[in-house]
Amino acid sequence: MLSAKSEQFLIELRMYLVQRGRSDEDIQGIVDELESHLIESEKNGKSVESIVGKDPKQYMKSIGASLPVATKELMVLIPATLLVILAYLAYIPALSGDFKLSQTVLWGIIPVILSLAVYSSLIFKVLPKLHAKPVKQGIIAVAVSTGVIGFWVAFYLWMVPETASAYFTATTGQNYVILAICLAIFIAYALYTKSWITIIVAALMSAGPLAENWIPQEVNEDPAYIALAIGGFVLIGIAIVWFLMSKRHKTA
Amino acid sequence: MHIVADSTQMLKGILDGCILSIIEEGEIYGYELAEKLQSYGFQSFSEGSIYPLLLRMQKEGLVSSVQRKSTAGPKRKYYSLTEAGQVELEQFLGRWAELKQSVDAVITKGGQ
Repeated sequence: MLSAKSEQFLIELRMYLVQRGRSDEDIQGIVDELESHLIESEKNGKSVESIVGKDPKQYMKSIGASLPVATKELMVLIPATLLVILAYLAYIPALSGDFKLSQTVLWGIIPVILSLAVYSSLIFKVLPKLHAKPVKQGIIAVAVSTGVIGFWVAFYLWMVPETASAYFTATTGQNYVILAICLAIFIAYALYTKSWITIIVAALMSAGPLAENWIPQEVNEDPAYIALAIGGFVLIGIAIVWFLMSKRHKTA
Repeated sequence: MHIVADSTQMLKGILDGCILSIIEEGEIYGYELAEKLQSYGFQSFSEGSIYPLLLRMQKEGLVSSVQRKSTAGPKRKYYSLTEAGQVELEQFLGRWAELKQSVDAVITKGGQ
């Protein structure tokens, strides 16, 4: 079992290398080897400093410098990620049968991408540093996530009524085509990154518009049901946090 | 501090050859390799710096690796020398002999 300090170092190293565009395979190889090395070293009474030197940041830099940049992977990953972001932006309007392109939508892509930059900087730079302080880490993660998601929702609500400046308004058939393209992009990205997260996010995003279509309007606007839904989600949230904390407690 | 930094710079080209030479003795895993290097007197490098080198050597086909279970913890990756690694090691030994001869000659001349 690794010490908290070593564990934090490995997380920071992984994030550092991911940010600098090193390949997943190389990162996994180095992290696995270092983990095994640190476990054995700690068993023999050595500290993490004896393995990585007195300045872990410097050590990370030297590791980063000795690994090649995964140019080919990045050449696929960067455009693919941009495509997924655009697909997310198009997905909900298309699902609601309301896809249109307007000046507002096109300019709106800039703040959406900027908010993603804030979010990724949280994931890569801030959270790894707080590995030993899970409560603080959780509070910051929830606060920033709520801020970013809140911003997206506000942006979406502001964007949807904007019809005056629309260059293009999709017909029902075109909305289905756009929806199919978005789904194909999510699936392709999930297969490429070997992660379900793209599809899970899309599924969560679909919940609102689908519920709006299926649930009768009088139920949808009934304050009692709204309160019940909020209460249900809060309970599910508490259950997830409790499950994760108890799992963490068991492995510690 | 300066001595350590300078030694590290000097080590850069040499460490590859030394690692190949130790692996030539027989299959070895990372921690053991770092311990051996230290036992031979390499004190001024951080142990973890061997892994990027091993990864590169593996990509260049100089060493091959195999994962084996360990009773002491997680699986270990054992490295062994390939034919290309053997050729590279022989070339390194030749280059080192030439370099050593030249440096010795300069130092001896300087000492006179």
